[in-house]
Amino acid sequence: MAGISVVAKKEFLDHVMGWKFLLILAILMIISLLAIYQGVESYNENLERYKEGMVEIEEHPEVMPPGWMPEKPSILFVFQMMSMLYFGILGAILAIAIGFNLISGEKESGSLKSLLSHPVFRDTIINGKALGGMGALGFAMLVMTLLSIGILMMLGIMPTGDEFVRILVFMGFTLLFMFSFFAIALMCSTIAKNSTRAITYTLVIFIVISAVMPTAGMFVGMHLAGDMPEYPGMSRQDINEAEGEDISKEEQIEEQIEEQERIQEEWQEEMQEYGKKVMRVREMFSIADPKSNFDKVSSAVLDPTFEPLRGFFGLGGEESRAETSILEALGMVWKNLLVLLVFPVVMFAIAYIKFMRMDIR
Amino acid sequence: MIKTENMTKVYNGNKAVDGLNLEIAEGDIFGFLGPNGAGKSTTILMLVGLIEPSEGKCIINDIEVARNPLKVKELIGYLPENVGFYGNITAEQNLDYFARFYPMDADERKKRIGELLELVQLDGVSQKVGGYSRGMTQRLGFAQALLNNPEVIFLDEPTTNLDPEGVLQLRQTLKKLSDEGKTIFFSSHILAEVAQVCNTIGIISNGTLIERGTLDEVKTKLDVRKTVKIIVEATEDMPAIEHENIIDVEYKGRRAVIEAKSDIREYISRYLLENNIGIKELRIEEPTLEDVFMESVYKGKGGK
Repeated sequence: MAGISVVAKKEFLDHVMGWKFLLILAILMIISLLAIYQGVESYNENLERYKEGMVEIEEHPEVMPPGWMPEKPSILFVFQMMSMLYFGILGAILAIAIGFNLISGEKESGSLKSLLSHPVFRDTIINGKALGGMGALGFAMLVMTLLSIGILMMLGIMPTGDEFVRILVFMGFTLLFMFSFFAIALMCSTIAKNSTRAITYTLVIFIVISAVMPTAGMFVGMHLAGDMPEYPGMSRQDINEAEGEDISKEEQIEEQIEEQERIQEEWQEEMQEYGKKVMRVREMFSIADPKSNFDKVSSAVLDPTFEPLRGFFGLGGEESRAETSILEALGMVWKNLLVLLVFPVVMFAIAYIKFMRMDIR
Repeated sequence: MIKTENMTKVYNGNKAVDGLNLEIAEGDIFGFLGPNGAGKSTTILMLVGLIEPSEGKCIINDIEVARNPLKVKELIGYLPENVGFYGNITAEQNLDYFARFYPMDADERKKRIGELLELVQLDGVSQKVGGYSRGMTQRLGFAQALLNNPEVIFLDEPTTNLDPEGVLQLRQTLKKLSDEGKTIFFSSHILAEVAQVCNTIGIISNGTLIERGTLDEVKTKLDVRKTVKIIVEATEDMPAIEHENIIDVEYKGRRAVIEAKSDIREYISRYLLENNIGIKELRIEEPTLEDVFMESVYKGKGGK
C-alpha cells in the first residue's frame, strides 16, 4: 500500500506540474469561462422573460390559459452548454494526453526497467499510475467546479440546493467520463510498443467508438425503422372537394384547420415512434461510447424535465415536460450509467493483465 | 551467491538462453562475456527477476528469484544496459523515488543518496536528468544500483558511454565493493574490460555457456591450437633451421617466427650455439585471451 502511494504521488505531481496538463487545463478553463458567460447571458434573458410572465399573470390573469405558468429558467442550462460543447471533447483530450504514454514512455526511456529492479510489485506500479492519473483528472475537475460555481456566485447567481447537487453530480460523471478515456489511453500505452503507436491506437479507438459506431447506428436504425413518415400537407384535391361542399366558408376553414391539426398530431406520433426506433438502434451501437453515455447521463442530471428518448428532431409531447428528481432521472439512464462505470474498469483490467505479464526487456 | 540450474528462456520458439548452469561464489567478480545477442542481458533479466525463465531456475543467496522476486530485489542492485531515468526531475529526486521502496526513512535516504552522488561525481549537479549526457546517466545508473547497499550487484555493459576516467573509477569502485564481500556479476562483450576487473569469467555464445573459470583456466580450456609459435632473434642473420616438427618458418634478417608441432626451443638454442650464433631472444608466443576468445566464440565452439 505504501508503494502505491509513492507511485501515485509521483504520477500525480508529474501530471499536474507537466506542461501538457497545464496547457489543456488552461484551454478548458478559458473555454469554460466563455461557456459560462454565454450561458449566464441566456439565463438572464430567460429570467427576464420569466419575471415578465409572472407580472403578466398577476396583472391580467384572465388572458392567460388556466393553469399556465411561465417556465422558470435554471442555471443548469449553463452546465448543459459546457457539457455538450466542451467537456465531452476537451475532457477526453485531457484524459488521453495524460494516459497515452504512461507505460510506453517509461519503456522507451528505460526508466521502467530501473524502477522494476527495485522491490516494488508490478501491480503497485500500474495501480499507482492509474490512481495518480485519476487524481490529476480529479484535480482538474475540482478546479473547474470551483471556478464555475465561483463565477456564478460572483455574477450574483446562487444555485438552489437541487441545482447545486445536480452540478456536483454532473461534475462527478464528467470525471467518470474522463476516466473512460484515460483507461483507454492507459490500455493502449501498455499494449503498444512505443508512445507513437499508443496514441495512434487510442485515437483510432476514440474515433471508432465515438464517431463511426454512433453514425453507423444511426444509418442502420433509419434503415431498420423503414421510411420516415412524410409530412402531411393539404392536397389540392382535398381543398377542391371542400370547396364543392355546400357549407359556409367559415365552417369550411374551421374544418380544414381541425383536420390539419389531427393529421399533424398523427404525424407527430408516427415521427415519435420512428425516432424512438432509430434512437434505440443508435444506442445499441453506441453502447461502448463513453461520449454517448456521458451525454445521456449528463442530460438526465442537468435537465429536470429529462425524458430518455426525447430529442429526435426536437419532438416531444407535453407530458414530457414534467419535472423528475435526480434519482428518477438517473434511474432512467441506469444502463448508460452502468456502462460509464464498467467501461473504464474493463479497459483498466486489460491494461493490468497485459502489464503483469509483460516481459521487460 | 548466484546459482542457475538449467536456466532457459525461449522467445518465439528461439532459445535466447539454453540450459545455463552457473555458480558464482560470494565476493567474486564474475565477468560474463559474449558477443552481442549471445544471451547476456536475457540471463541478467532472469537473475534480477524482470523476466521469468521458461525452464530451470535461478537462485540468489538461497532465494529462488521467480518465487520471491521482491525479496531478491531487496538484496541486489542492477544497472541495466542503456539505463533510463525520469528526465523531468533531478538525479537526487530520481534516487529518492527509488529509495522510497526500501525501508529507509527520509534521513537515511538523504544520507545514502548524498554518498552515492558523491561517489559517481554527480553531487552538486542541479540540472534535471533529461539534460544529462549519456556518461552522466550511466554514472547515475551505477549510483541507483548501489542505492540499497546490495549484497549482489548486476552490471550490464557498465562501461558503455563512460569516459576513460569514468571507467577507471568504476574499476576501483568494483574492487572496493568486492573487498567488502559483495558479489558482482559484470556483463560485457569487451574482453579487455572483463579481464581488468574480474576474478572468474564465463563465456556465453548463442545462449549456451561455452566455458567458465579463472582467466587462465578459460584460456587453457579454449585454446584448441595444436601448434606453437616460437620467436627467435639472433645476433647475426638467422640461418635456415630444419626440424621434423617445423611446419613453417618466416625469416626476417636476424629474426624468425617458427610455427612448430611442439616446443623445439631447446633444439633451436643448441643449433644456433653450434653455429656460433648468439641468441638475443627465444620465446614461445602465447595466444592472448582475446585471441582465444575471438577464435572460440566467433569461429569455433560458439557456433551452433
